[in-house]
Amino acid sequence: MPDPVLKTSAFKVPGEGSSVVISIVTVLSLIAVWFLVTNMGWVKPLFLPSPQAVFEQFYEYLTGRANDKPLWQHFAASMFRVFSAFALACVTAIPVGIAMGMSRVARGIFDPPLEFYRPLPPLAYLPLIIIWFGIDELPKVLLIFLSCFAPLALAARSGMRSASQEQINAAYSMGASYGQVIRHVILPAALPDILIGMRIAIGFGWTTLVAAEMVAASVGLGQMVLNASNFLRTDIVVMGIIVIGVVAYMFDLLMRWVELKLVPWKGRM
Amino acid sequence: MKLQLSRRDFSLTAANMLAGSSLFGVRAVFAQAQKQVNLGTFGSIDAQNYIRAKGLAPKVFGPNVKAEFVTVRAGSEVMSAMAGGSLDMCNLGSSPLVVGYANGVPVTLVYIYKNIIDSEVLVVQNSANIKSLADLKGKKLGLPYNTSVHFAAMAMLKNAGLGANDVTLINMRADQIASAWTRREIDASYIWVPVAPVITADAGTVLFKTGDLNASGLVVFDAFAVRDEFKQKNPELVLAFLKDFEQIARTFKTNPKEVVETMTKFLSVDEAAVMRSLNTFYPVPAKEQLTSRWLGKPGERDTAVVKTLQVQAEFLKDNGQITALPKDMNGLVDKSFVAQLA
Repeated sequence: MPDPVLKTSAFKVPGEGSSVVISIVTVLSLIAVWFLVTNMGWVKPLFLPSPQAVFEQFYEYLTGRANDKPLWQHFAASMFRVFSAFALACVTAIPVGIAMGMSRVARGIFDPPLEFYRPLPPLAYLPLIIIWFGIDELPKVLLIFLSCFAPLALAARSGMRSASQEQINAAYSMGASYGQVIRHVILPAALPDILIGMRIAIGFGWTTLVAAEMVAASVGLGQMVLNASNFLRTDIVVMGIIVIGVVAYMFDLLMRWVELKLVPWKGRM
Repeated sequence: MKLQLSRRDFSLTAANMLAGSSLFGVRAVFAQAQKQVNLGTFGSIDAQNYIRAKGLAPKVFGPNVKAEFVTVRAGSEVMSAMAGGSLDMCNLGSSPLVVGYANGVPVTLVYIYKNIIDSEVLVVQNSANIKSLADLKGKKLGLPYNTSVHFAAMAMLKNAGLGANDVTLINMRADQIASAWTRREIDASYIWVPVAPVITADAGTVLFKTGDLNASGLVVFDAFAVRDEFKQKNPELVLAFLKDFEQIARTFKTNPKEVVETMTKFLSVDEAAVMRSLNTFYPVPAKEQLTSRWLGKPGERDTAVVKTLQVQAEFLKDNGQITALPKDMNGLVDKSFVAQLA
């Protein structure tokens, strides 16, 4: 007999069931621990500021009373950099990935450069980017674009292989042309992988933001964090980190929702 | 470093951390084994690097002390590293030192490392048509924030009657300045040796030297700072370093040939670069530091150094870079070592 408290379907699929409540409890207890260790004075504010101090900074930045540009300006600058780079990566990397999956010529051309630069840390080629492209917006967007490009192209490429041979042969036997097989069988099968690639890519984009804004930026969330760390303002550092983290998480939730709407067939092929 | 903790050490450490008595309890276990000094260096032509190049550490600190050299790139890094306990002694600009002190980093200024006169200068692009400081209005000035040049630039602009919004300050690391300069993306830069001579040679002109601030009663200097806990536990190591520093500083001035030979090999830079660094290096002998023009005698309050630190703190406060002025700037300075040296 199945255990009545176990909230799974009769099939007991591994990892089944909602995890929302558990996630909320985890977040709340992390914040509670943070409150406890800082307010009991166990950790010096220089190492970890209290949640109140962080919230105060957040409020001051939000209302523009901080001795810096208001938060929305930093936010807007960073959003522009990350999302323009991400959009650019989407319109270039996905076609490249698809081409790599479809044609051996495209694979031969793109594979070596992609695999060469992909594991390089952005900070390693940052000096080159500055010398080539200066210190304006271009190098910042370019740096984020490069970090988004590789995971997206690779995801699209591997997605092209997810349609099974039976599905492809079935389509052919019903008289589909090569183009139709790509359009109606292979691409829909690749879409879930592409969406996962997009989620990973935007994550890489956020990780590269701070490195990108090391290049003579005067606004931006990453620059705000860097500058605050120069002045040992741990409260602003933590505030900036939380803002970046929450924004990235929100976007990820959005992407999951899109995924649910756009590719309901994911995992059911 | 290999982590070798006995089970007893481990549980002690764990208990320590749980009790919250020390966030860095692990380090305390290591410290008991052998004395270690983490000496910071900017990786340039400085006394610490000279000691490293010549392998003089056992001679300076004694054979039983393990000397680790930590390369830092900016004064703010020195402060973070000292706050975390991974750096014991290092030179740094007075500005990041004040920021650290205001934020409660347990450090003390024990010695004036060098007087900054012409090693940090304002260089302007010849093409930018900047003939006087007033012409800087509306121009782009690249410099690294929270450093001695940042402070010097702010003081310079204030003296020239320019406000913070008249000039576009751009926060850039020293290595980015040279490439932005070549691409003519900044009109001016307040920066130190070795970047300053490089960009001056590339169609630039030196318009202002940090030493020019002396006229307005400000002395800009590199301080030698020591982590408080280290200072209390190993005062003899601090004194040992300062003693040898004085001697090395003299060698830098009296026998540059030997220093050039050592450092060109060690850093693989050209001789001219080393010579430039040596020529712009102005040590202040301990005897002189005891006068009120610098640190002053033990017990003497509000000497020139303390006054400069105070002005600097006010600058930082005005720019919102520190939230509150430290109550007593005299608490940042410990003159006992200088008194023993002189």
